[in-house]
Amino acid sequence: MTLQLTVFLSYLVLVFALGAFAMRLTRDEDDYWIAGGRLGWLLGGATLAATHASAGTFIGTIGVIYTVGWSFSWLVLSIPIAYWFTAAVLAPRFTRTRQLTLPAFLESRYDSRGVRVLGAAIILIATVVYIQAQVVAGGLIANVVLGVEPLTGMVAFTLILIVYTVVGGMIAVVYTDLLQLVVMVLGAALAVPLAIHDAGGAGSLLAWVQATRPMAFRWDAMPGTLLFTMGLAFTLGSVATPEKLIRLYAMKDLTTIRRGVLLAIVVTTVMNLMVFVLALCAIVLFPSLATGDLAMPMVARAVLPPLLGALLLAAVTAAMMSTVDSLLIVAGSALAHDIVGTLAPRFVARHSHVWIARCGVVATGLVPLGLLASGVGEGELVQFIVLLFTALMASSFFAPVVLGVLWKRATRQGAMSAMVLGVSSAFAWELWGSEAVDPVLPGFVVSMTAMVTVSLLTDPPPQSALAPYWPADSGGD
Amino acid sequence: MSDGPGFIFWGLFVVFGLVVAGYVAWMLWHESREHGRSTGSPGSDLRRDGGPGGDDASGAPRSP
Repeated sequence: MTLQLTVFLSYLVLVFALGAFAMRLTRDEDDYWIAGGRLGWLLGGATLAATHASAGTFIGTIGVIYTVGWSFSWLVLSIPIAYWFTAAVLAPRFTRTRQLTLPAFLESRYDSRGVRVLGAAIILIATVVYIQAQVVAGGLIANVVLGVEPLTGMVAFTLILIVYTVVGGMIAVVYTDLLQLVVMVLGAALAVPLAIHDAGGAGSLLAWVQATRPMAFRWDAMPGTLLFTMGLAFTLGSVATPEKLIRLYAMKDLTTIRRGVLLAIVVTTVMNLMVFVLALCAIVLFPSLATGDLAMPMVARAVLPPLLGALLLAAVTAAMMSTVDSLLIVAGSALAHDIVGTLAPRFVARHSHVWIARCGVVATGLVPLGLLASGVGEGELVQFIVLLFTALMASSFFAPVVLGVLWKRATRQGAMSAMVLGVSSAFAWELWGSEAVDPVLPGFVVSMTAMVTVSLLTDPPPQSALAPYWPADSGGD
Repeated sequence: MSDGPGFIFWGLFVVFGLVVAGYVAWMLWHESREHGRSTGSPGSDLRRDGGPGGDDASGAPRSP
């Protein structure tokens, strides 16, 4: 336990040191929100991969595969598909203007402050849900590693995250993401062979899982519709979530984006595959866990040597932190830059933009913690909270962002309808719809339908709004 | 579909390998095409063409 604590504390000291280093590099709002738009492919790809890999990967996914089997692991293919689409189709037009936030892009493209504020409000609300999922996982880890109450662990993790994100902004997030990615890959890569060895070797592992849990290797272990729609949620969400889109602005050009995306695809998918194998090991080694979310902490504690176990748990922590810090940046920017900046420009003009940004990060970081302290969201399986966030983001932003850069006829009324009806449909489905279909399907269909229908029924957008995205051709579609 | 740990397990690794190979081929094709096109021109970054957008958009090209 002492060794685990030492590894943990050393890791946290490193993270803080990077945050302090980044603070010295942060000169203005550009630096704070998008790292000055200067990232190369290594840092850009690493921060994309680290943001993608979350507690959902190390706690949630392993938990779901432990519970329902290998068919769920095929959803990992949503990562290369979504990122390829982003690099090939979205990025070339999306990055033609230089914005600091996704809502600012929406205002630019649709020539509407209303679209911007609406987008920021949706991001704020949905991000709280997602941060909660990560914080719940942080509490689980703290409980296993340090023996403290989960709620104490949640508070401690959140405060640590808020401090270094507030201090260093996106630059701190990017550098800590690189460190966290290295820790994640190292932790998973070292854990897999040892866990397989403990489970009796690769052949024995597969044979044992098949013998004791025949459903683990069957396609019908989950309803086909649910599997397909979850894949749709991951794919659309990987394209349209604000914390990923904003990283396109942080990288310096399209060649960098393409290379960074390759790095993100390879690292994220390989890391996922390693985690999936750990889930099979957990089935053999701990066949009757109370919840699948305990599979990873149990592998780390009971299977691995203390140092490696500590490293793996540090990796899980890294995954959680690298996602939450990015979400804090996105939520903080939505609050400070898009909502306060748009609705109270005089206030913003009187104060330092970076100071307001930091206040935004603190405010959005404390909300999920307050909700969890009140018992809201506790006890949910982490991966399903992650899926809900992904579905809400995809239902809100996929249509306005993707059609916004591909279809000149897309209007602000269409974008607002798509966001409101999309997110409402997804949320309503989550509450009252069939569990065999992920909420992203109704959300996505309603959002796209609203976008197209309302756009066609309203006046075309002004040429001034379209010109930056179609510079060579200002005619109709 | 196979129900054993055959395709459902190993197939995932194979499909992933194929997708990555496809992406790398696409990226290299893109870069070689741009390299051929950009000799003597400012480069391939479409953002160089971009004008100002919203209130944050400086319209300035990124650092190369």
